[in-house]
Amino acid sequence: MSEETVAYQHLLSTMLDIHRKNSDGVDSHPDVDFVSFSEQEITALVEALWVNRFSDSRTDFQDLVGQLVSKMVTKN
Amino acid sequence: MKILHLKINNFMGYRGSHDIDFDVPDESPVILFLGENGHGKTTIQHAARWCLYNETKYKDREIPLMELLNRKTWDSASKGEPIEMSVCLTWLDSNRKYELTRTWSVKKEDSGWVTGTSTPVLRIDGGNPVPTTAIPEYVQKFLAKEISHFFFFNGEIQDEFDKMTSNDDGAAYIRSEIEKTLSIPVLSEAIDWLHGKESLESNAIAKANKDNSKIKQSIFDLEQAQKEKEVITNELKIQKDKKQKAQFEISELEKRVGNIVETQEVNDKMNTEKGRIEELNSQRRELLANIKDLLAQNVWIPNSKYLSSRWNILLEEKTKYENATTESENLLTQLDLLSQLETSEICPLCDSKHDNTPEHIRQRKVAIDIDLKRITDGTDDSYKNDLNLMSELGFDSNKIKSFKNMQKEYDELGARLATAKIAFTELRNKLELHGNVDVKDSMAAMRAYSQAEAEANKSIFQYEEDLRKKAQLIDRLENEISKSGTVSPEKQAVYAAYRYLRSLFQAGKESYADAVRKQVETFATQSFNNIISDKKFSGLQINKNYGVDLLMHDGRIEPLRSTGQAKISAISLIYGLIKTAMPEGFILMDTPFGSLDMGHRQEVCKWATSSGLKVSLFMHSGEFDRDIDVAYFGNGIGRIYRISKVDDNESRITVEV
Repeated sequence: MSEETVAYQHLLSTMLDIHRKNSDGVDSHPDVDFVSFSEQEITALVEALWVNRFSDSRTDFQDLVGQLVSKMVTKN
Repeated sequence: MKILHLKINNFMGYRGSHDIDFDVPDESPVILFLGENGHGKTTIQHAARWCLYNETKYKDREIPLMELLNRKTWDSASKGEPIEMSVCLTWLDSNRKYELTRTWSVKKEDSGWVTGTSTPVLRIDGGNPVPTTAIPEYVQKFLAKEISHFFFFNGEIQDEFDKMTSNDDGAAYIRSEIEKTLSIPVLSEAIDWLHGKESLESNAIAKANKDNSKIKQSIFDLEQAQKEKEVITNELKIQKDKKQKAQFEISELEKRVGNIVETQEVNDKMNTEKGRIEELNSQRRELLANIKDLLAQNVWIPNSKYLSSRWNILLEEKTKYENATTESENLLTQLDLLSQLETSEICPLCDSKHDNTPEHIRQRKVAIDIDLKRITDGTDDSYKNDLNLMSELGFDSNKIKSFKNMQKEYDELGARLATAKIAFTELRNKLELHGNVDVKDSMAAMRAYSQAEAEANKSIFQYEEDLRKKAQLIDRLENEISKSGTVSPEKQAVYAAYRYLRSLFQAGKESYADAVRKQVETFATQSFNNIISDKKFSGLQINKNYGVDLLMHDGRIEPLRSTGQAKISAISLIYGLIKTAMPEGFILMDTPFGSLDMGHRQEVCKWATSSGLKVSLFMHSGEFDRDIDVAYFGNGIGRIYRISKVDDNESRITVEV
C-alpha cells in the first residue's frame, strides 16, 4: 500500500477485527451465514476499495469481489 | 502529498509570469504571504482552484474568464495576436511529480474578442501529457474538490468557521464534507453495490422457487415489501428535499442577517471611523479657510518664491551698501587726519612728530581717493525703493513660513483622512458580507422555515424507521427464500457470499466511522490544547455530526462561546482531519488571525511550525506585525513572500526571505 494513512489503518483493523469475531463465531450476526474468506482476502478487498476511492467507478473492488465469490463457490 | 510550486501568468492582478515556490524544508514548514487587503493574496488560492478544478467562482459569484484575465494584458492586446492566461500547479504524491497547467487564450479581432476554452495538461514526472479525460481522477486523488476548502481555507469568512464547528442540524452539511474526507461515502457505495448483488441473487433464487408452495407466501410477501419499500423511499426523498430546501433558506437568511454581534461591532467601528472622517474634514475645512484668508490678505503669497529670492537679493544689496558707507566714512576720517597732518608737524592722534614726508602723505591721500571712488562707483541705493515697495505690499518672510506650515498641516490631514476613508471602506465591505437586511422580517421567515424543517425532520424520522423495518423484513424474507428453496448449493453460496460481505462492510463502516471520528478528536484535541490559553479545557469533543464542544477537566461540556474559540476549534478540526486522512498534509490559510487575541496568535504561529503540516499563511498588516510576530515562528519560517500592488490592475509578488 503506497498511501497508508491513519484512516486506512483504522479501516483495515476494523474490518479484520469484525471478520475475526465472525470467524470465531463470537458476536457474529445471527442472520448471516459465515463464509470463510481469509484475512488476506479481506485485506485485499479493503485495499482495492481504498485504491478506488477517488475513481468514478470502483472496478478494482468490484472485480475482486467477483473473483473471490467465484472462488468461494468453487470451494463449496 | 505536498504542493511544490505555483506559476501564475496574466491571472487577475498578476501580469506576466510569477513563480511561487512552496517547497520548504520540513524544519521550516511555514510560508508567509504578507500583503494588504485587495493586493492579491486571495488571488493565489483562486488561481490554484482554477487550475485544479476549472473553478471560476469567488464568494458565490461566477466570474467570467475574461474578468480573470489581467486587465492590463487585456488592454494592451494587439489585434490578431493571441494572449494567454495560465496557471501551473506542481505537486508531489507518492514520490511522483505532477505538473498540471491550465491555459486559456483570447484574441482581439475586428468582430470583438474570440475566446478559447480552458485547457488542462497534466504531466507526471515530466513525461507525455496524460489523457485529458484521466486528469480529474488524478486531481481528485491529490485533493478532492468537495473537501478542498479545508485546505484552501478562508478565515475572513466567519461563516466558514461557523459551519466547521456548528453543533446544530446545520452541521449536517459539514458532516457530509468531513465524511468525504474520511472516505466514508466510498464504503456506503460499496455496501449499496454489494446489497444490489445480494438482491439480484435473492431475486434469482426467488424466481427459481416461484412454484415452490412452501415459500410461495414468502415470495409474495417479499414482492409486497419491496414495493412498499419503494414507496417509503420516494416519500423519504420528498421529505428530505423539503428539509434541504428549508435548511438552504435558513442558511441564506442566516448569511443575510449575519452574526448580529459582529455586525454591531463593525457598525460601531464604522461610526468611529465616520466620526474621525468628519472631524478631519472639519479641521481641514477650517484650515483651508485660514489659508484662503491669508492668501486674500497677502496677494503676493502665490509669488512668494520669486519675491523671497528678490527680498534676499535686496537685503544683500542693503548690507553691501551699509558696509560701503561704513568703509567710506572710515576712509574720509583717514583723509581728514592726513589733511591735518599735511599742515602740521605734530600728529593729531599722538601729539608727536613723525618723519613722514609731505610727498608720502600726498601719495596716501591719492590712494584713499582712489579707494573712495571705487566704493562710491560700486555703491547703489536703488534697493531702497524696491524694499520700500515690498514692505508696503506687506511682504513678510514669517508669513511665508506660516503659509508653508499650514500647507503641510493641510496635506497631513489629507493623508489621515485618506487612511480613515480606507478603514471605513474596509469596514463597509465587511459589513456587506453580513448583509444589510431587515432583521425582523428575516427572523420571521427563519421561524417559518425552521418549523417546516422540524416537520420534515419528524416525517423523515418516521419514514426512516419504516424503511429500517421494511429492510429488516426484506432481509429476513430473502434469507428464508434462499434457504428454503430447491436451488443449487452454488447459487446459495453466491448469495451467502455477497450477503456476508455486505454485512461485514456494513458493520465495518459503522465501527470505522466511529474510530476515525475519535481519531480526529484526538488529533484536534492535541492541536487545541497547544493553542488555547485557557487551561480549564481538557480538549475538544466531536459529536456524531462533527459538531464541536469544549470539554472541561471535570468532564463537563461547554459549548463554543467566542469567535476566537470557534476559530481555534476549526483550525484544530482541520488539523485532525488532515492528520487522519492524509499521508502528508498542507494547508493554505487566508486571514487566519482575525478575531484572535495576541496570545492566541502567538500560539497559532508556534502550532504552525510544529504541526507537521506545510502551512501557508496569508496575512495583512492588521493581523500580522512583521517586526513582532515573525519572532513567534522561531526558525519555522521557510519563506516570506511580499504581495504588493503596482496599481489597481497589477499586483507583484516578491520573496523577502
